[in-house]
Amino acid sequence: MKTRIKELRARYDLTQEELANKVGVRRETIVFLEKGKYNPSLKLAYDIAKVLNSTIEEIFIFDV
Amino acid sequence: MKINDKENKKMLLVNKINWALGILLLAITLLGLFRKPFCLETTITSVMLGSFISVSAYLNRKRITADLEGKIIADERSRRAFERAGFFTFFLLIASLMVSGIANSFFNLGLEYSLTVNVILFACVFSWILIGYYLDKKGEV
Repeated sequence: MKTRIKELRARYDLTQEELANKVGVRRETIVFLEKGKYNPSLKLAYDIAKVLNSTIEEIFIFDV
Repeated sequence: MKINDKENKKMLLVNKINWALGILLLAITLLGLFRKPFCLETTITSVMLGSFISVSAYLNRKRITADLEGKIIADERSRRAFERAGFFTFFLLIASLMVSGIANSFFNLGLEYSLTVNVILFACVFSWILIGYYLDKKGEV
């Protein structure tokens, strides 16, 4: 799975820590999400999309 | 979250009950040390259960208070890691019981299962914590 979290985070000038606090997870979780190593729950994906003013499909790209 | 929340008050009460239970078990262990005849199985079980309940109550309290202060100790990823660790530990328990049971019946080892249960319980709790920590750090859960 690829994500555009890093790119969108930079656009909104958010640090990993700030994004983590906004969506209620630890910073490590954001690190693993950016690396594509962790599949988030639908709720977390929705929260991240909301914070980054995007849709889930725009942020998370699944390789089939 | 506010400290007066009904749910948090309930959680803190359950936590206090757990804490009291752990201390009670440890006190029973202390009394058991002076009892004659000395019962090793009961003492080991009480020590392990008492310390396990006390430590988990302490960690739970730490988590609740951190939650109330707005800090995050356990998020969905770490919870998922510990759930998966529990799954692995369960299979570890089944495997160790099977291996020890088969070895016991094939080679007549004469294993005393009243003591083995304690050892297995200790190994399982220990491996659950270790595997959970490993999966949490690894990230792929």
